[in-house]
Amino acid sequence: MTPAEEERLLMEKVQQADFVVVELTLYTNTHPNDMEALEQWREAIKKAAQVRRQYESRYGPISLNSIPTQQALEVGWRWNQSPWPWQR
Amino acid sequence: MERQQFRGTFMPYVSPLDPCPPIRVKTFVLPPQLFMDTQPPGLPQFSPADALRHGSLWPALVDGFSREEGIS
Repeated sequence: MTPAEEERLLMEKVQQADFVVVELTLYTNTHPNDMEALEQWREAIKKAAQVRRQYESRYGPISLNSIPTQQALEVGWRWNQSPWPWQR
Repeated sequence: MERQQFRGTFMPYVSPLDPCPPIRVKTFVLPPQLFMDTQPPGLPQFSPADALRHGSLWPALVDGFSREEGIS
């Protein structure tokens, strides 16, 4: 597993977790009193945040509202510098 | 291709004056949402990885569209 593949895999996990959150949000829009789905929606948001935090702590922020961690700075993350997350 | 459940087809009129070779059968998608009014709660769900791949969290809503088919 090369570092690039590893990062690609972690990015894919972030995408998967975010997709589940989007799907469940749309579902709860039309089914507001489906308690089970609401519960799963809350869990999905926590899971997505956790996977995103895991990614960002190693490779730098993905969105503009997260702070680069020390580890990301060591890896060489700098503001406004290629490669961007989707190019790596 | 797996079974063509969510597909509709029609035969366009083929004229001898057509400049290009005719497409005899045109296929289009009839998504599962057409046959279901509000989504029932508690449908079986995909795992996150499959959900992203199939484009929906619920297998019942997936119409099996594939890029090879080239239709939307």
